[in-house]
Amino acid sequence: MNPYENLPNKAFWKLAVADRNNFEIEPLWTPKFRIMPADAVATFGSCFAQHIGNALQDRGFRWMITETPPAGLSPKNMTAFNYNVFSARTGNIYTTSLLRQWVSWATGESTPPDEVWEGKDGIIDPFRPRVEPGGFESVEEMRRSRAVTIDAFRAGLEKARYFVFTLGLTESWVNKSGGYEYPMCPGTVAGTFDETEHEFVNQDFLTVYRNLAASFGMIRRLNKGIRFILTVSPVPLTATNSDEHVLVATMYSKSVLRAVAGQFCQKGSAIDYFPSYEIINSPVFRNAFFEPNQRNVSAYGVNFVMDHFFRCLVAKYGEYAKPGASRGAAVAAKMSKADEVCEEALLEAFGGAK
Amino acid sequence: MKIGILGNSHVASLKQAWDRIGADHPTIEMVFFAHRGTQMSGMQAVAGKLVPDNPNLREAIIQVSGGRPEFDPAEYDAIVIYGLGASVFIFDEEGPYSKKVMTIAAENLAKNNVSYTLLERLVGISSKPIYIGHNPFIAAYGAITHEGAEKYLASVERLNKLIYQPMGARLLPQPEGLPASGRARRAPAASASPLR
Repeated sequence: MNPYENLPNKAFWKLAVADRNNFEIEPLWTPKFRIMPADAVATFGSCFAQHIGNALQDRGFRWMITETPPAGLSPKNMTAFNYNVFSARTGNIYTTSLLRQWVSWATGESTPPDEVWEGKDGIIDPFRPRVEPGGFESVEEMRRSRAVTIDAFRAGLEKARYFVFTLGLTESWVNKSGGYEYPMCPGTVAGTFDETEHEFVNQDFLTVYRNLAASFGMIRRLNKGIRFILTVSPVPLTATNSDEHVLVATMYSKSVLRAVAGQFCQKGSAIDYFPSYEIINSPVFRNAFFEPNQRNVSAYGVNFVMDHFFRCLVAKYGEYAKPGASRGAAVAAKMSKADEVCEEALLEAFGGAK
Repeated sequence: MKIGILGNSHVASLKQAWDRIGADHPTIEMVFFAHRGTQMSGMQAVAGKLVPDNPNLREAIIQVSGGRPEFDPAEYDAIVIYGLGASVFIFDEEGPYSKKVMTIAAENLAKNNVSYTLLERLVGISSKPIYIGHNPFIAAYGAITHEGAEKYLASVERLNKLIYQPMGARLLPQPEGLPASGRARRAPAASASPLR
């Protein structure tokens, strides 16, 4: 008798992978929490996090949006202005140190620096450089908008039952004298690069870990019952400043993030890890989920990952009770009823009523 | 003066109001063209007229207009497009949104409905004055305040400059005093009509 003799099939590569159809390899995740459709889920982090929110919403779960777009804004413009991309309009929070920065602003432990960037057509928020196409009309408007986002971010932390965070990068740019971090290197999409002031930091395991621990600690002080779901973005780096080949730098970055996420997940019962990174990147799936540029994840890949997320929940906790009718059907029924009422109003007004 | 009114079921409230007060205005004639929901999007511009593109709509138009199978702008001194999804974006300078996103949202809101579709088609075939009546507000509940009414009226003017004046049209505000909180009404829909 040895410890391997009674392990389930999933523990053995031949049984769990080699002997199976690539697309039937599952379950790759054993969830720790039974997420219910009514549970508020906040999503933040790197680019890939935005797919999680949409997938939750599409399946009738409660993706918590604490910073809503103005009425009437088209879906295309919502995306352009970064509404309904994450739970609040933070833009991408690529690193755990940026998360810590946002959480400290939200809790009031620190305040955002005064720095602003003047763009060609407007004022750019150095900490959300791509949320307002062309920039804000004035510094005052930019600061007011950021304050709205910080309040909304805090509301998300306070009210969420689940906080989903996608770790994206280890490479970061900091302001040396101010001691704060930018989400993007100054001078790339906006701002001006100053080598005396702007410093590149490729964060190591301990830095990433400590910043995540500090962030979660602050969040828990706001919301004791909150639970965390970590993911690692499967999207490779656009560019690296590490002096390594971008492919090697990507593997370093993702490996560190994956290791931190794993360590955290093992550490606490309130923290889970969903392996979207492995599903997209594993050689088992033969690169099936990337666009031709080998970087962007295809819609098919996103759907595959998110289907897996929900299948694993059902596999562990059973089917979710289905409401009498889908939300869409209920809306359609209501519209139909409204149309009937409308027709009656017209018939009555124009003399056709019986 | 002869006024042609195009709309959806909200037109019923105008008709009922006009039935009550029309006799007081003998020089004004109103002719209504309406069908429920978004069905009026089937009124296509053909040879200078708006013509139903399906039998169901044609039948509804004939019934509501008193026998006219199509809408000929040349017959009218003024045209009103009522309801059909038109609504007022409230510009709130102290609110959470930037001026830029408010302007874009206002444009999106104003243009993504049947009212605007018909406006575009009418502008293409007629130079008659066109007025837009937006969907009635929902009823106000609880304490009624007129705090938002100024913002509402200012927003209507801003929408006129931004959207409707360049089209040669005009968005009509609801009568002053009716909007409560700028987003709801405090009177029945018929009396809240801009034609009152």
